[in-house]
This record gives sequence, structure tokens and C-alpha cells, in this order.
Amino acid sequence: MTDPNVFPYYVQVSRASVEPVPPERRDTYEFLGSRLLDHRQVRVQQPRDSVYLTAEQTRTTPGQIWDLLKPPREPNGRPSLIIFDFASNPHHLLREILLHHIAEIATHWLRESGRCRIAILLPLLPPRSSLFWLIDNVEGGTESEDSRITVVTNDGNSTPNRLSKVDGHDYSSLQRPSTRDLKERLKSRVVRKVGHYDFSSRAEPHCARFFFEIEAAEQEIGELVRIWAEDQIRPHVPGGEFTLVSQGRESSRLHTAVAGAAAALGCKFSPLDPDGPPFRVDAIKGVAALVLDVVHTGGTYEVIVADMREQGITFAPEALAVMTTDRELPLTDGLPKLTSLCDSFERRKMHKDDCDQCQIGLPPTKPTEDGQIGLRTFDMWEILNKASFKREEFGPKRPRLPFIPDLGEIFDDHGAWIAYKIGDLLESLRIGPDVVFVCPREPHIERLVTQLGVLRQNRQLTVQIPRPVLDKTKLDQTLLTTVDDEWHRQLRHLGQRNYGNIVMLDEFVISYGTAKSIARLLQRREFGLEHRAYIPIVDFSAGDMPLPRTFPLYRLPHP
Amino acid sequence: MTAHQNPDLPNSATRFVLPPDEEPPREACLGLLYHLLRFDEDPQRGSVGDRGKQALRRNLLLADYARRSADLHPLVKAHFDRYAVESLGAGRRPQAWRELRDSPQVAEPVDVAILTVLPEELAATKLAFGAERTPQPRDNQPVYTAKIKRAGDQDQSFSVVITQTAKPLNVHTFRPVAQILDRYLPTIIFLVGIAAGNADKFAIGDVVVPRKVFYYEPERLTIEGIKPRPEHTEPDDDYLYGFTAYDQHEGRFADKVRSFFEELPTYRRPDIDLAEFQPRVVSENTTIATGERVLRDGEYLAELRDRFDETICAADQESYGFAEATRSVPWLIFRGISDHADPVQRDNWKYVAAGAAALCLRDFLERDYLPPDLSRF
Repeated sequence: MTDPNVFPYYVQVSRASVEPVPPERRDTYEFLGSRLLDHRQVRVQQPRDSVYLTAEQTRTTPGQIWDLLKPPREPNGRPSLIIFDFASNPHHLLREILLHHIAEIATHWLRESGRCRIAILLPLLPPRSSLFWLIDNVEGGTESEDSRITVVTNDGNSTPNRLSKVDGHDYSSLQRPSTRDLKERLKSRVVRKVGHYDFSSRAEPHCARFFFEIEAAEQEIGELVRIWAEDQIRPHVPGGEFTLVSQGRESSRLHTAVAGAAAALGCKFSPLDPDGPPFRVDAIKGVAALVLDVVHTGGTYEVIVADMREQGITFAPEALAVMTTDRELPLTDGLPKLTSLCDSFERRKMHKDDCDQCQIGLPPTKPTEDGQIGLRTFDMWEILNKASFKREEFGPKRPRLPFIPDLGEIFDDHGAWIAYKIGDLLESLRIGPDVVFVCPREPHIERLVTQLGVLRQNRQLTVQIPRPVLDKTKLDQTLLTTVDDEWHRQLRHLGQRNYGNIVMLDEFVISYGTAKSIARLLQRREFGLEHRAYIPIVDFSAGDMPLPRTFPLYRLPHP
Repeated sequence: MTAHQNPDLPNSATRFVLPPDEEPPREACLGLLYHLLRFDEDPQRGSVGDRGKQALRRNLLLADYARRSADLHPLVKAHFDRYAVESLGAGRRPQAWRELRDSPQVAEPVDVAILTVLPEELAATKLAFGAERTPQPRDNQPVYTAKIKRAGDQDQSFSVVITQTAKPLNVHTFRPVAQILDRYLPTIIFLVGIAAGNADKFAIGDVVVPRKVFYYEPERLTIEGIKPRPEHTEPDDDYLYGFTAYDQHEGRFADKVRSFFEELPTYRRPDIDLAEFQPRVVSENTTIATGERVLRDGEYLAELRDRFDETICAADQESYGFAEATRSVPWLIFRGISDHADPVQRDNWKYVAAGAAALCLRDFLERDYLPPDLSRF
């Protein structure tokens, strides 16, 4: 007997354009197919691209989902499973009216096809009062064991109980990354900011060359805190009762992450912000499980514990730091054991007398606000002095400069920080989070784009234009043969929506040839797009910038 | 198309006509000189390619320094350039970079500088402008900063620094004026304080903004007698940077001075009937005579007027030195009349008259002042 088919539809809401379906989703589709069709082997018709609704469509015309979801062509008589995969969307974006449309589509398809089953994957179950439960009008609804429709949520619950407890657990594991994966992702989202950071400790004043920013890792932190509290705190405190207390100066994302973990754990939460309202003792129920953002010398940690103990608060035996930066932590006895989510990061700490930047009179950089958006000359030149200088490998056919710094190397070492700076620049230009980056398809800039994706939780879309397309002086001939290329489709989609948040990106600019090519390409009639900003990381050109809205992070006129 | 012309860009981006080069030039150059002075280049090491890359790297550093240093204060640039040149030579000192910390510091350029002389003048001017103390320059010259807004345009403001000479007299104005000009690069500088005024023309408390300055001291002593060789100067701008259009009544100058008077502590307040105090601002056909004498005889001022110029109507001891010291930076003089160059003691009027002059200046800046360098606004 031929293996049954699985037809998944990977749907994303509030997105700018199509995106590739993550390959790992195939595992989920195979898993569900085998369980729900009761067949060991299934054939997953994995789609290449997502189906998407833009933010505006999600808000105003969610009914357009009917035009985007087309039923599969399946010979009659063969059982199959159709999967509407909404699992990767934030729950709050799946608005009531959209859920209603999903339910109607599922109901309609089931009526039209005699032997297919439908699985709807959601992040959470909608409340019973939701219009989504229109699907219960299908013969058997979701309550009956014979039901042809199943709803599965990320935590492994299904309705009806089509998945066993073990299968539900396995399913949720498939949706959830492992602790190791989470820690790797957390680490990849820590931004090592380069500057001149002034720290004072009880012992002596000192400076640090790096400061570590963890704000981009909110989701990972939240999940890891939940796992830590479930495994290390709950079993070891009286009655399993505890309150998560997060401490971070201006670390609103840490507080949000820990609050989310507390909600998932069903425990209380209390933020401890030195600049915020005074801490309330009655906010603690049970013992306090402390979560700190970054621990340097441990001095603040000791003071916090001492202050809270003075108010009669009892602590869990363990406390958690997202990261530590000094290997030699001068902890005293009597404090909760401090564990860390990340390995220790090196701050390059030194006494002020040994700090070169203090020696030459450079002012300190503020950790939580760098002040300027461009790169400081001191930092940029430290980076350039360590980087190799090579001949231009990519770019237009005729090299414009004898040697240039290897920006690929620089992006490997400092890509997260540069990506962070780009984020600051976009914010200052009021270019919103739903940005589309357009850049040449070249290895160096791809590394930076990868870093941008890591920091921005892959919320941005990147369109990479092949170099031959940019180098063509007459584009018509080339474009006729490229209509099926991904970049062409992406630009067409954006053009159809008159998309405005387009940012051109490149590793550097010299003659503005590439930038002008991209700008001209965007403006072509079949796309009709305009860039809002052009960001070359380094501007080697001399004189005026011929392309409007150019914002390099560093200007370095090449002699 | 510049950012200013592009309606699509939010206002916050208009500053990005140039790249987000927000690092102050001095800090940028400190960083560059550090790297230049520590540039580890051994021309004998490595292949030609390596040496070529090293040379390119240093050329890039120098090009970067050349661009950034263009915005430095001339004093600071001259100092820094020496280190840049030293970095090129074989005789580069290994620890030279540690001296960068001691390079001259120049504060942010300001729009307006004000010079006062007497303690009462400084105190009254500080009060009129709401000024605050700043860190002292090396020679302890006091400097106070203030910011005032344009009336009817809250987005436009002027930064102000106020300072004082160490001593009265023309010769002692040169150094403090030079310090202020070098340190703050003001667009315009004002002398504010008190003067003696001709009783025929001024009441006590009036303010004179003279069109000309007459320096009466130079003379040649001959056997026939003293031959005067007076000197003159006047502001470069016939319109006095907008003062010719100043309307004291529109800004209610007299009311402001009376309010200032009312809020004075008793020890600073002259004994007068405030209802009869009607201070005026006089500028047309006025010349201030300057010398090294405090005029208290009740006659000399009138003699100067009769002998040299009928527009001579006031006298002080600093205006000419001040005007000469400005080195072509635009200037004006605001003097409150505190006496009639006569023997009558009116000590409490020094503070009030200086306050009137300062208030008149502030009123003018807020309403009618036309900055000489319009590209700065």
C-alpha cells in the first residue's frame, strides 16, 4: 500500500514576505502524520516557502487567508493528512477573526474531501468561547474519537486526545529546543559591546573593554529560567513555593523574560530594579529565587542578598545569573549558590592606572547607552589593526582599491556588536522592526546578515541580489531569465504590497556603484520600491555621498 | 537631495545629512593619535606586500586623522598635529602617547560671550541671565554659562558664557577677552556693565548702547602743549546686529528692570521711588569716551563732548581695550548709567545699572538680535 501523504501549510502572520520553511518542521510533520494516520511511513510534501499574511492583512483583512490556502490535489480514496501549521506564531497575533477563518477553511475542506484529516497546530488552545471552535460542527467535532480534525498545541496537548501522553510529550519536545540548544542560542545572542566601560568595585576602580548585552535573548532566558526553576528550585523548597525575583538595572527584557517564566511555572514574580519603585516584602511568597542579569565581581549580589535578608526574606538554595564575567568570583559563605546560564565572558578588565583609554583622556562609555551610533575611532582602529588587509574578493569586476580590511573577519569577531549598532541606527531613523534588508549575495555581508537575524530573532527579511545581476549595465536581458529566482519573487511580493521599510546593506562603499545598482533595481517598474536607508558599514569614499539617505557606521576616506 | 529636503525622513534624521559621526572631534583625534603613535611598523620586516599593507594602514589612519582634525579648535589642532608628525618619524618617542591626556581642552563653541569688570556687574549679569558656574580654566578666570531662548521660537536658543576681567582699565581687558575667544569661539561678544553718563542726556538707571567708542588718552606732549591723538572705533555692522531695530517698549524693558529692582535684597536697593523709575535705552548718536580715569569732577565728560564730538555722552575705562581685544569678532557695548561723572556717591546704583544693561542685552538677544554668522542657526 502506498504511503499516505501529508500536506503541510506553514503559515506565518505579520510577516513582510515569504520565508523558507524551516527544514526541522519536517520532523514534526512526519511525527504527526504517522500518529494521526496510524501509518509508520508517511510522505511529507514539504513546502519550500511559507504562506504569510502581512501585519496589515492580519489586522484588517484576515479573510485573505482563503486565497492563500489552496487545497492539495490528492487522488480520491487515498487517506491524507493536511496540516495547518500556525505553531511558530506568537499566540496574541492569532486574532479571533483569523481563527474563525481557519476553522471555516478546515470545515470546508473536510466537507469537500472524504478521506482527508486535518491537524491544526497552534501555540496555545483558544478559549472555549472562541469562534475557532466552529470546527466542532464538523461531524464528530473535536470531542469524538472518530473526529477527522485534531488541534495540537505546543505543549503537546491535543483535542480530542488523539495523541497519547507519551506522544504529547514527544511532540512538545519537538517544538521546544533542548536546554543545550537554548544555551547555544542564548550565547549567540549575547552582544559583546566594545568601548571604555567604567566600573567601580568595593576593592578598586577599574575599566573594562567589553560590556555584555543580553536583551536580545529574552525568549531563551525565559525558557531557561523556567527549566532551572522547575528542576533546581521547586523540588528543594518547602511546599514547592517560591517567588522568582529578577534583578537588573534597566533590564526590562530580563524582567519580562522572568515574568514569563513565572507565569509558565504558576509562581509569583517580583522585579528588583535599583532605579525603580522600592522593593515590597509582601511581594514574596515562599522563598525568593533570585535571577540576575550579569554578575561581575559579585558585589551587588552580596548587597542584594544582605538587604533582602534584613527584611526577613528567605532565599532558595540556588540563585541564577544569566552570565558572569569574572572567573574569580569573591563569594562569601552563606549566599545562595550562584549558577550561570552562560560560560564566563572575558571583560578585559584592568585597573584605571593601566587603562590606555584613561591614560589618553577618553571619557567612559555608558554601558546601557552608547551615546553615539557610529563606531568610535579608538574601537574601530583597534579592530582594523588586528584585521587582515586583502585584495577585494567580491564586488564589481574592476577592483577599486589595492587592499581593504577583511570585513568578513571583522564580522566574525564583532558581527553581533555591529548588528546591534545597525539596530540602534534603524531605531534612530524610526525604521520599524519589520525591516527588509537588501544586499549583494556575497559571503561577507551574509555573515553580518546572519548576525542581524540572530539578534532580531529572524524577524527581518533579507533579499540577496546576485552579483551578476548588479554588474549588468543593461538589466533587462538578465532579469528576463531570473523571474523565478528567489530575490526576484521576494522583490515582486514586496512591490505588490508597496513595502516601505527597505534598507540596503553592504560591507563597505567606495564608488557607490553597487549601491546605485541596487537602488535602480528596486525602482524598476516590476518592483516599484524605494530604499529608506543605505547602510554601508565602512564608507571609503571621499567627498559627498551621491546616494540619498546613506548612513555609514564609520567613514574612512581612502587616500 | 539632502536629508533636509527629503520629506520622507523624520526630523530626527535631519542631522544625518552627514553620517552619524557623533564622536566629538577631540575624542576622535585622541583615539587616532593613540593608534598612530603606537603604530608598530617595522619597514624591514616582512615581504613587500606586508610592508605595502602596513603603509596603506598608516595612510588610512592619517587620512582619518586629517578629516577629523579639521573640526578641532586651532589651538588643539596645532598641538595634536605635532604628535601626528612625530608618529611619522624614526625618532618617535615610545611613550609619547601618554602625553595626549595633557593636550589643551577647548569647550564647546558658544553663541554669545559677555565680559564684565566689577563684581557688581558680574553678579547682576549672572542674575539677569540665570547663569551657572562652570569648571575653571587654568588661570582661574571665572566663567558662567547660560542658555536663553528666542522669544516666539522655542527651538532656537543661544548659549551664553559670562566672564570677568581681573582688574578694571582698558589694558586689563585683553587677556580675559583672548581667553574667552580662544576657549569658546563665540559668534559675538558683549561688554556689559556701568558707565558715567552726561546728566543732560541720561537719568541714573538708563542704558546706553554706544555707536562709537572714543579713546581720549593718546596725546603728544610738546613744548606748545598737549596735542590730542584720540582714537576711535565702532562696531563693524551699521545695524548693530539687529539693535537698530530694537524696540525697548515692545519687550517692556522698563518693567523688567523695575521687577529686577523689586526683587533685590534691601542692601542692594537704592533709595528711590520705584514709580518714578523709568529706565530708557539710548543708542542713537551716542559715543562712549574711554580712558584710564574715573571721572568724578562733574566737568571732564562735558569737556570731552565740547572739545571732540558732541555725541560723546558717557564714559568708562574699558570699552576701547575691549573693542581692540576682540580681534574682529563682532562686539557691542551695553552700559547702565550709574552716575553723572560727578562727586555724588551712588554706590547702590552700580548693581542696578549693571542689571539694567544686562536685562537690555538679554531682551535684545531674545527678540531682535541678528547673529553675524547665520549658518550656525
